[in-house]
Amino acid sequence: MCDAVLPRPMQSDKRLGFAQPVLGTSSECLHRSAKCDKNARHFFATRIPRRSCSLLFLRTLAIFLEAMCLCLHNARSGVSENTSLTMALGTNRDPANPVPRYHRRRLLALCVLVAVIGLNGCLGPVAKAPFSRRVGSGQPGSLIGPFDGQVLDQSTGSPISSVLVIGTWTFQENNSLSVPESSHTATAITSSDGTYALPSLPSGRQFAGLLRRFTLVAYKAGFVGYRSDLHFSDRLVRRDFVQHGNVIRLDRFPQNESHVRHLVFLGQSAELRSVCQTETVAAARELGQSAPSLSPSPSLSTDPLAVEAGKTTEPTKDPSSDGPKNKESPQDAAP
Amino acid sequence: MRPLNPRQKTGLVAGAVFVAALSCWPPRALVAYEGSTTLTGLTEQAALKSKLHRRTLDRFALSLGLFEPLSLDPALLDSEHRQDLVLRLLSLDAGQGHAPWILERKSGQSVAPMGQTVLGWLSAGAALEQTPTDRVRHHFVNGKNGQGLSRPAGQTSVAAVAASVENGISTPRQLLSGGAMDGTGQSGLAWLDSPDNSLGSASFAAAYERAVTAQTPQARETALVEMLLATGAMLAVLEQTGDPAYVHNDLSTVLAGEYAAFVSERYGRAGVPEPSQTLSLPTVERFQDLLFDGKGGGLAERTSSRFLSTPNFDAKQLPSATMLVGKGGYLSTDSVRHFVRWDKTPNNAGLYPFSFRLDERCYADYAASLLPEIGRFAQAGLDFLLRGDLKLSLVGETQLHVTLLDQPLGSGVLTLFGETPTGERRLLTQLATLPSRPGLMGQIPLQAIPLSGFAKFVVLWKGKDQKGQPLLTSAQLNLRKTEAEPIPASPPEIVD
Repeated sequence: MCDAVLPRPMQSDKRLGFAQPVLGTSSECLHRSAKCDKNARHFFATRIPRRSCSLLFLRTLAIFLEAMCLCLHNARSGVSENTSLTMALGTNRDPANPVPRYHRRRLLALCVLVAVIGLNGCLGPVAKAPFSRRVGSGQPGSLIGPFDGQVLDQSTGSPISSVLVIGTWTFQENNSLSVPESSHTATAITSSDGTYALPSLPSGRQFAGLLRRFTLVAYKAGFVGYRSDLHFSDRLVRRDFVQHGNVIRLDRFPQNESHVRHLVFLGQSAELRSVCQTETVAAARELGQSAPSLSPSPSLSTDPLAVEAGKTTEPTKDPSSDGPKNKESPQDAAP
Repeated sequence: MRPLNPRQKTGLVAGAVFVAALSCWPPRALVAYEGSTTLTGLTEQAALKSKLHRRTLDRFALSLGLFEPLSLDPALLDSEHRQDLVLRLLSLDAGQGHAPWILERKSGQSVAPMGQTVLGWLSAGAALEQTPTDRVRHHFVNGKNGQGLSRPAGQTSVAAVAASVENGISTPRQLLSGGAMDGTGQSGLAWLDSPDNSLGSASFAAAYERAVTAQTPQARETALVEMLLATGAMLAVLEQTGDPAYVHNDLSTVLAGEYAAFVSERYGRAGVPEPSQTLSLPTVERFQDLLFDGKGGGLAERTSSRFLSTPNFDAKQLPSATMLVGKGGYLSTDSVRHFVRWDKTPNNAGLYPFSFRLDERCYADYAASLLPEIGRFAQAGLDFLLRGDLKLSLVGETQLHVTLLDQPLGSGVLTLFGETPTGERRLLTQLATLPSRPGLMGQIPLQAIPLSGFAKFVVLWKGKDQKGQPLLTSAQLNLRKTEAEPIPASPPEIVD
């Protein structure tokens, strides 16, 4: 598809195991054709977070301003460009020509400016938390965390141990449609007294885009699950979730309750997948009974053969003749 | 060395302040129905009410149906879109339960596969339709003429480009490369079939075909995931026409995003209501007819005719008999109680002009009325995309009967595959078929085919439906009944 292949810096994504370009084109090469230009634009729109784009742009602009300042100054004072850049970069080791004090002040101011811009670009904003810090405190909570609380049995009031508690921080691109950017998940298991504690969002993850929401899900087989954003019974917005000292009261799973509805309420997250397998099977059975059937239409005709006579065609290619062999059929992958 | 003169200093300081201000300027957010919550919730509810569960059982032998876990092996994807798709999938909201799981790499796999259920992949496709942001420009469908996004009168392309960068629709890089949005976009109707759309109808058809014809189970499973992603994305385009701003060519209201944010906060993903089962939809010939059919039956037309996007409204649209008494209140319609808020406030000239706006009461009524309707359209869209159910039955050991279950089909080609016990599929024969009504569609002679070598027969029918629209459908017949894994009837465990 293309001829020219240009090297580009690569970094390894450990989760995925493949290297991805840091800054470069999305496809395997840099193209010159119109189609390739379109691909390149598409890449810039998708691969690099917009925040990073702005940051890169502003940093470049700041460096450019700094260089312009020095060049302007030195052009008037007769200092060559190389010398001024050497001074700006702090690599001037000539004790006979130290950097003038007023020049250092200017460089310091420029560094502060760059730092302000850089911090503004790096530290993503945090949306307002829709929950309080503690029950009745009136203080707004923090999406960053940490979070703690206790899980109790609604019917008995006793603490429930071994409840899986999943906290997910969701980031969105800061300056666009509510487009997801990334998310971070932490899990905890309630102890014998039913308490859980989720740590704060790791500081390294705070460099992502807009921290849009925090969602807490609690699940234990045999109980109705809990979401921090919605009630299960009426699907209304939950208002009683708090950051610290949150009390989660789990109802026993009613006999006539829908497993499909319950699983859809909880969502199919990776952490839940392993503990919900029994309920997943029950949900599939339930859906099999309630889903619309594909039974033949009552107006089925009994027309004889509709295949065109004499138009039987030979297979053009037998795919079994080449290619790797598989080991298991798709349904074998079912849990 | 001379210091800078005051004028130069002033210029530098002004430049520095400008740069700092520019970096701190908060851009406005562009919000449609939020992909992570509203669109995925609508898609989930539509899938649960549709025939998709049955079809995954019958066509793809997925014993858990919508809850069957499927894995996507990135190594098997088209190299041109591989990284793009994987990175977009990784960005999805894990808190809403449709973000794929990262599975362990097996030996020989250079890239870790990703997993999710059928329902999860479908929802993920709906969320992907909004990434990257500039895809949204192609989601507009004018409810009056079916056209896409266009610039308002008097706005130049330069101004539109500048606004798109300021609003975050386009990036500075796009601005520099000439790819920034100029205030226009393809109609959603065209976008679904556009070659630029990597999750459109062409991708859907190609992935469906590979999901049946690929030789290995892994390749078929990955293709099935691609098909589900494309299906979810197409449903998202349909669902977006249930947003009044998108059918009134109203980018400014989309940018304000108050309605969409309200819906997301009020319903989230899991709280989206079920599809309306009382709304009867007209017969459609194409998927796009669900968006706009020119007769008032499309979702865009229904939304446009009954719901408001504030800037498009003025007092001239009021019926002549409407009396606005008092200082303010709400107008009502048959569809919603709080149609629009009106106020009469004095201006500088001492006059009392009317002003109209939508507030949270209006948003609540709009959403309560629109969401079940959108869900119904999405359900119909899902059933339409996978229409044409076939059934295979073995007559003796010499004939394979192909029965058409639901609707007439046009001419096409029927391809028979045999699947070995190891899951490998081999093409056995191809037959051209005549237009068929529901009933026995054809008989395939099996004299030359050794049944003992196969565990399953699979047919793919590719042709056109009765209306001349392209259609793919498939069916399977398990030849070894003992292989079927019955679903265990175990209740959920209660572990203390």
